[in-house]
Amino acid sequence: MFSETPDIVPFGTSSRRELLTQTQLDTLQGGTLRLLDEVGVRFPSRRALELFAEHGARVDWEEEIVRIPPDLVRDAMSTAPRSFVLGGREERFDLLLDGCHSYVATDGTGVHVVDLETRRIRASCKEDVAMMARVCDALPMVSFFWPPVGAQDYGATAPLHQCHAGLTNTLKHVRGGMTVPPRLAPYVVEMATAVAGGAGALRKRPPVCANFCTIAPMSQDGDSIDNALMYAEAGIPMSFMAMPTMGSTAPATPLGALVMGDAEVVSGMVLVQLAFPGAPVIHSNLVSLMHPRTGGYVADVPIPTGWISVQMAHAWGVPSLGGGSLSVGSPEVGWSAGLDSGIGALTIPLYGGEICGDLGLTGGSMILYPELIILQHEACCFAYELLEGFEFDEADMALDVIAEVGPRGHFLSQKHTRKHIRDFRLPPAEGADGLPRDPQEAALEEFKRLHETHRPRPLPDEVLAELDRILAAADRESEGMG
Amino acid sequence: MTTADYFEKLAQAVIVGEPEQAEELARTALAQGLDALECIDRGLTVGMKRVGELFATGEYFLPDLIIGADAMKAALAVLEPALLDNQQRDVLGRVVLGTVEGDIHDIGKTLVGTMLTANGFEVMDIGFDRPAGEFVAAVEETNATLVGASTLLTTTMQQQKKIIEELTSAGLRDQVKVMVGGAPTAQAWADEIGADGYAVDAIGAVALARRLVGAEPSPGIDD
Repeated sequence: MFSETPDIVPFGTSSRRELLTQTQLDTLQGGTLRLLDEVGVRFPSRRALELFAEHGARVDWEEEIVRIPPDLVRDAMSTAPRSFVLGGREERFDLLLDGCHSYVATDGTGVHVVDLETRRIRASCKEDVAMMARVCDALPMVSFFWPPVGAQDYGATAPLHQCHAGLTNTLKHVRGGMTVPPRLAPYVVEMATAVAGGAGALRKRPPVCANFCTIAPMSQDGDSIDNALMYAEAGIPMSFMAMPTMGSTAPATPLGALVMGDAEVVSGMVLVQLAFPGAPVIHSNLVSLMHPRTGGYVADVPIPTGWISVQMAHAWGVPSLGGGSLSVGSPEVGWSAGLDSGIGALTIPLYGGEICGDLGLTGGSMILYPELIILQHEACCFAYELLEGFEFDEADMALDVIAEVGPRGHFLSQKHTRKHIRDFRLPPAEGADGLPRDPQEAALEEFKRLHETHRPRPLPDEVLAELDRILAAADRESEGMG
Repeated sequence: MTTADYFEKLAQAVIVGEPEQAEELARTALAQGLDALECIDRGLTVGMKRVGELFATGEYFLPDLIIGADAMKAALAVLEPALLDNQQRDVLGRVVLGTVEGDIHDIGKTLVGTMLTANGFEVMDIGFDRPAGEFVAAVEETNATLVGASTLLTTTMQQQKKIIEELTSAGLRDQVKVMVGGAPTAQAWADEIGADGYAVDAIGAVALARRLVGAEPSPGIDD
């Protein structure tokens, strides 16, 4: 028997606010264009350099740096689609990236797991990805499954196994295309094609998207770029993600990091548009801070870079991956995680990024605390109900009920009370007796319940067999690569 | 309708919380010659027990309990006067309940009263802003074995102590157990003034009352 997967629940845009003015956005975009034209971006990919050269960019073949004239950037970006669909197993799990919805995603890709039973930290494995996919399948606010941790029990094919664990354990869209050695990238396309039901269906409702991180400052990764061109040809949407760290890999000012990250992201998108005009691309620019004493990664700084990066993406006419984030900097689930989650949940509808949230990891996206997804899902539900769940119905003033009770009466005996007292979703962190429980303990219990009982509808047997065949072939090829 | 049907419908009226229906059924049952005590024991009490079970499993909320108890009370108002002289409804204890002098808050006290009624106690609710002497008089009048005194204000909580003192003066302290409750009170306060128990909420008050009268533990209430 399988379990019913609830419909996904995206945020709307009724609460979205613009932080920067159009003039300020124009200034930032002007900075990006200047960086691309004058500083350039390193593309260690022969194919990419040739493509840029063919379209009139200035290529330094020795340094592998491309300088892109502003008009070429604008022309290429004008072919990028503003709206497209990321497919789920069924249409009700499709994500329409049109600027009118914010879909909550999991975070990725961590390497440590707090074991569900021993509660000790260990290296992540494929089964952890499968476990998270199954549990996320049951959580309606989670619309986009990014494997939260790596399948470290596999070698070079780990990203393929992460993709497989996602596709076989949730009906939701899977961010399954990560950077792999280019010879393995076709296997990702094959898996996506098998699940979609053919190459045409893949283009229409791709069940998998990809992500490629740029290298700050002002560089691309060669394998990522080659992967990107392969995925774009097949119709797999992709995000280019810059992660500039203020003080180390980026200027120590938010605007400096933002404009530099934007230049990196846009350079990747321009390349893809030059090669395959109209290919679906997503803008992602995640600014962090170098800890001034330890040099560590600090993601949860109270500055609105996520907000601005969403506006910058939209200014380029493409969807954004980023914006409101529940990402937890602290390694533990405690007050700090609660603060990051609560504030972060409220920023999702405020910022209005198409894909955002980053649920499930602590320690700067490194550690999977399984029960955190339950707590953060609750925070998202809270934010959703607070900002979007209220419906005005004049009858709810209940004037007749107030009149019937009258002065000094009470409402406990009213049938109206009995009916409507059920309208409210009670805090999950309480026992059946209504008394508060330790939230983490309650969340862990709920996680274990979902882990043990939720079994999403499986893929058809022939598709599962095809996926197994593809994975086996990829593993063999990987071994051959030494 | 058979006799068993009447009992079943009375129970059902309590379970779904239909006071008017319960009262009407009680009248019809008596008119059909059914025994009032059997209507209570095999109808209303069975229904109230089921309501308690549904509450214990989390399916029912407080308003369901209250409305169920209201249905039971509406039927009892018809059935109790029809009990024969040698018949008496089984109750766990008789409780005098009120909010102390100077305090007009009574929703918590009313809730406790309803919950106690729903759980087999006979409750005499003397209301709010009641002087200690009225608690004592009510105990004398009803031969109660429990007293529940509620207060919401720090300025009136001393009245709970006064009630205990006046019960002692009247020679009734050994006859009754005294329960205190309300926002400013606590177990330490109950100990300080010599009360027999304190409960934080209505469910706790039922559990406390059951313990004070030596009742068997009840699932969902005493766990």
